[in-house]
Amino acid sequence: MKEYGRFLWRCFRLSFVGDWRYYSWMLLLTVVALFGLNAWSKQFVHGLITTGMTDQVSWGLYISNFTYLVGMAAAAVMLVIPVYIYKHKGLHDLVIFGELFAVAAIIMCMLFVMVDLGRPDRFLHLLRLNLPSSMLGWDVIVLNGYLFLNLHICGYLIYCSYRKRKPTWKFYIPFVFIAIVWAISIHTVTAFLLVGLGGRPFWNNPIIVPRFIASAFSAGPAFIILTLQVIRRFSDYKVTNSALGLLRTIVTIALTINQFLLISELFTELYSGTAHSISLNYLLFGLGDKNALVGWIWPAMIFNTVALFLLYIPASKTMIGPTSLASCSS
Amino acid sequence: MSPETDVSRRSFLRGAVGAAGGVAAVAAALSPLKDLDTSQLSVEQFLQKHYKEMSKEDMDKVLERIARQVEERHHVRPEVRDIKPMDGVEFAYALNLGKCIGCRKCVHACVAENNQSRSPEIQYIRVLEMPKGSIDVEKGNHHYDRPEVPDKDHFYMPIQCHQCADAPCVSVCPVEATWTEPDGITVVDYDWCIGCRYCEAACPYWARRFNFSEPEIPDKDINPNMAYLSNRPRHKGVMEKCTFCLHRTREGKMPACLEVCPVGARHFGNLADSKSEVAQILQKKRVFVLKEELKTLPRFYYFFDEDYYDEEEQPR
Repeated sequence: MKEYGRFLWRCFRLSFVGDWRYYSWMLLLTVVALFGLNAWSKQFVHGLITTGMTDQVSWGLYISNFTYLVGMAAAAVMLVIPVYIYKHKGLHDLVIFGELFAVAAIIMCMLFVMVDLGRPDRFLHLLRLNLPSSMLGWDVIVLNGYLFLNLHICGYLIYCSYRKRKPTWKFYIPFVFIAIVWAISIHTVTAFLLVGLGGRPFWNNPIIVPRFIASAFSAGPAFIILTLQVIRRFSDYKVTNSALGLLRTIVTIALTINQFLLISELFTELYSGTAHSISLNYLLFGLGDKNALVGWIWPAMIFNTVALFLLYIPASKTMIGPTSLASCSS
Repeated sequence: MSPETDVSRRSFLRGAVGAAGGVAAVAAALSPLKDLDTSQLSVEQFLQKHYKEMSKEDMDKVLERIARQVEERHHVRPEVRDIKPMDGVEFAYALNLGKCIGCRKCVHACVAENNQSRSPEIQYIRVLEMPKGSIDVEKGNHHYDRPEVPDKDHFYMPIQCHQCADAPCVSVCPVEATWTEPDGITVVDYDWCIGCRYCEAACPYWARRFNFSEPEIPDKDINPNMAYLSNRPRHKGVMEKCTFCLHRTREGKMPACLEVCPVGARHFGNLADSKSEVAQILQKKRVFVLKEELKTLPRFYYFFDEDYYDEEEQPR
């Protein structure tokens, strides 16, 4: 136990060690975080009105970031599956990275939900969840479960490596497999949260659920590729080309599926042109003089398409930045 | 040598300066919190139980606290009660679209009765001005501004909470801060709501309103007749909605929106009593509910009364 405390303390110490680039990056992030804290303090005092949200647009960037990051966290499983199911060698050392990434993403998810609450001081009321009927209640459960699973798995493996012990399989392998299914569940439940609303025709659409998964499995690994590229350039940590190549294949497949589902959705909505498609019309073309989202959705769709073409060009060996950007548009 | 033992004087100083700078930066970032109005926050409220788990004594204490806080804030001593539903009552509303003239008197009577925020304005009733020849609410305009109503090319459709029997807002709430009472009224516990706004997203009728900032009501406009589950003043960060004026209707009175209606378009009563006016309307008129296909089972019915048109024309 004492040894474990020492281990945690040394991990903590280690997070303050780096060269000038590391310090400048951390300083930059700290400054951004402090600006965020300052904005949240103002919001806490004056209410959510400071975000510009209204009764008409009652969920905004907080919830979209939350949704996006749930996808990111779920996508970490794309590092886990090749290693534990297909015994992929190149990714083996990166599994821990994926799990830590998931932990970070989940913590950010929870923070985004916290700042979106009108009464964050009442978060303890979440201990009295309205189950089984509330999908937000289920989301609280699956997100916390995923957080603990990942904390346990990577915590155990890193601690074993710290103690120079060989990890005992039964302390982590069963959890790895639970976590694989659990990862899909977090983004599925988050999609259910939206598609279950009969009063919102645009969301009340079963294709949203597989699209959530497909877009997460393209955006997540795409982001991981970018991160690994940075790690490879600026540290002596070895990231093999085969690892990046596999992630790239995953992105290509997931993005293709996502595009296919998107086309199916667009066709169904636009060809039938019923009242059901009015939200999509607003998103794509605007309704009357109301067109705030038109300028966002088209670049997103163009990035998506360009990314897909780039990925299919055999010569494009270098990993593609726009992929991660484009896949955000889920 | 391990890093722990290698704390030189210089690195210690550097760490201390860094830590002090960090603390100062965090303090500066948090500085807006000094403007927080803590007068309406209390430990009692923080520890308060869920409505359904409170005993009579717990509730009495809560009502006393609310009365005290309202008095401190608005200098009016209110009477705050926890009014329970009556047995054998299921409330329903029926609105005659043939009569409504779109004057919005109901909107303002509702605001006055239910202590809604005047700044920013919160209103539970929306009146849609609809072009004749369609009943598609997407063609409705609730921002109409005319010197005189009704306009001859339009009809008017007031929308408020439909008090659904299968209310999507209730099932989505993660903390059961909103529920449907035995008499059919969907209520919000303003002391339990965490402000996630999921119910607002779930409502097909846009009947819920969120306090994006601290509601403001002039002291002279406070309605001192208050109930815990309806019109007691709310605070920022919680959801609110129409409660069929339960502090009135559970004592046999009519909702404020009905009382003020100059043309008698609104009808309210007990559906469980087949002789009541609403029950009679449901039996005899051709009624409909909005967005019936969503199967939310509203307790708010619309109808067009043919008699109204007869008055305009020659008597038969």
